[in-house]
Amino acid sequence: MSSPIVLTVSELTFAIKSQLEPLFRQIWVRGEVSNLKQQSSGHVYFSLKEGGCQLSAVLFRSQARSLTHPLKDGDTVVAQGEINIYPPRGSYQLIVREISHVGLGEALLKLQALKKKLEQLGWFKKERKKALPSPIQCIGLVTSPTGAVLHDIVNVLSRRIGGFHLIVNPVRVQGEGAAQEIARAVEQFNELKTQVTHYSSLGGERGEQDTSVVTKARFFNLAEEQREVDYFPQPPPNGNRAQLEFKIVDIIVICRGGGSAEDLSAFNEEIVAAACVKSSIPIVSAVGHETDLTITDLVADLRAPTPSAAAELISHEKFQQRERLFLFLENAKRLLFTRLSNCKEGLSLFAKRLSHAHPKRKVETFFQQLDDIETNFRAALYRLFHLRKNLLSQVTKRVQQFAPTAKLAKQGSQLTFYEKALRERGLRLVQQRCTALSYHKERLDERLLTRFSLCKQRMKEKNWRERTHTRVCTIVGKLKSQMEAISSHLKTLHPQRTLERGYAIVCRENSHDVVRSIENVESGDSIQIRVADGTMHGTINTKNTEKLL
Amino acid sequence: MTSKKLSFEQAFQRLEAILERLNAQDITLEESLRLFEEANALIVLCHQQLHDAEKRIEILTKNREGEIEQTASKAPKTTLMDIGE
Repeated sequence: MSSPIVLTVSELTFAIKSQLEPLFRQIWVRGEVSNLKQQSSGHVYFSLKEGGCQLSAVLFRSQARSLTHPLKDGDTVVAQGEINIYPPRGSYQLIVREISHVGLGEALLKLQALKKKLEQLGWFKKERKKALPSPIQCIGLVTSPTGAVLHDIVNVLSRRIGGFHLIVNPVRVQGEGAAQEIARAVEQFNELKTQVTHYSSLGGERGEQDTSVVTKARFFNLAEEQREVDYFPQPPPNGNRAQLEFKIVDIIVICRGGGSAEDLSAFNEEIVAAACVKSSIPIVSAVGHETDLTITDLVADLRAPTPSAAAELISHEKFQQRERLFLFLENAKRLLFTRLSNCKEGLSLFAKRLSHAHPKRKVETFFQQLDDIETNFRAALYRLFHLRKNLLSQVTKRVQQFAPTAKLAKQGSQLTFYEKALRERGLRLVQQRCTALSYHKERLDERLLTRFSLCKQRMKEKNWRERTHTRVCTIVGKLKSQMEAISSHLKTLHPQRTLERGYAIVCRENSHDVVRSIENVESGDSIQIRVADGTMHGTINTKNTEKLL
Repeated sequence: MTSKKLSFEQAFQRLEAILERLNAQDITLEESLRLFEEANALIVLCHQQLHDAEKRIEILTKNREGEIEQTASKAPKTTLMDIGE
């Protein structure tokens, strides 16, 4: 026996999640709302109850915000969404993607089914859709004759294109039978024809028709002229011109202002869609606000977000033509003005050149020449005058030179000159003498001074000599007495005196060598003896070394 | 060709041609004035066709069955709507 498989909680939970969730995607659930809780985050939590069962549900903020009717407890609703397992709590819940109250919910379901059906029929296909006609002369409007929509459309058209022709097919746009009326209105526009008996000459028939038709005919007369060119360049092949018929309008606009989903429900009916598809006239739809997309919008050849936008779309071509015309006019004006201003410029240039060639110019040059001549003439005249004036002054000078007064003045001036010279000479002489005198005086003074100084010097010398003489005499006397003393002394010291006193001088014969010692002589030597009064010669006999004292 | 019988497109073509001619160098003053006159007339005419067309809003008259009432000549009966401007 094998052991049982044990799952963890998470394994089990995720197994359930993966099994359950794919099974309940895109489901529709009907039930009664209870336990409604609006979180501050904007998410809405509630339960759906029915037959004693309960289903948790959550409506996230983004979806909750787009609810037209707020949910409240006790409401029976149809919710569309998916089943989601929430592992942290082990619970399952419905995540609501769309929710509507029961009546609405059923309509929603019906609408979805219808959309699917029509789509399969190919009514929404682009290839099926017709282009906007051109030109749009008459506009058929399927709407309420009393609503603000009609006014909006009239306003937009008036503003953008001024003139237009609008035929309103009045219908109810909501409530019982509205859809039928709308569908029928589309059919009626397709049925109504305007007959143009003779499109080239209509005038004759006018009297028999009532006024509104006459007006229409007049209108179509204009349109016809254009159609002649735009649609029928050649006459119709059968040549039956009298039988031409036109649809009364060129385009049908189905429109309605904004409202709730129930209000717009007429435009979600199959009958309306069928009428639109069948219509051979192009259809523009403008139902509700931009966010409301009805089946009529899907089927229409052109969908405008709002009635005003529809008016703009259908007036677009005319509006552009108007703009184009305006541009043409502007351009033509500009070109013409350029041309005109060019011409003007050319003209003014001519005028300038003409004024250059004006005879006045010539006269002016003459005037100028005349002025020049005058100036030159004046200058010459002036020069001549000046010359004469100079000459005159020269002559005047010369004449004045020869006048007697001049001579007198000359001699007078000579006299004064001489006088002056004489005076100068005398003065010079005196000065010379003075100089000489002072010179002599100086020399005399000098000589006197020399002499005087000489005398003075001599006097000085005489005195000195006298004084010197006496001093010399004194010295001489002193010296004389000294001399006498010395000479007497000398007399006493004279060798003669010694000899006189008895002393003798012994010398060797024939020499003057004085014998001063016994040693100097030998026995038998000749000797000379000198005494005071003469000399004696002898020979030495003996020698004795005996001292005298 | 009188401008009266021209279609819109033809009128525009003619206007283009006039502009081209006006732009040319060799154009005489006389011709340019004449062309401008013509262009002006064309523009006025087109303008009239575009805008001076009678502004007309009719509301179809319906009987109780919701069918449109018609005159003897099978033209629809309408009432004119007053445009409060």
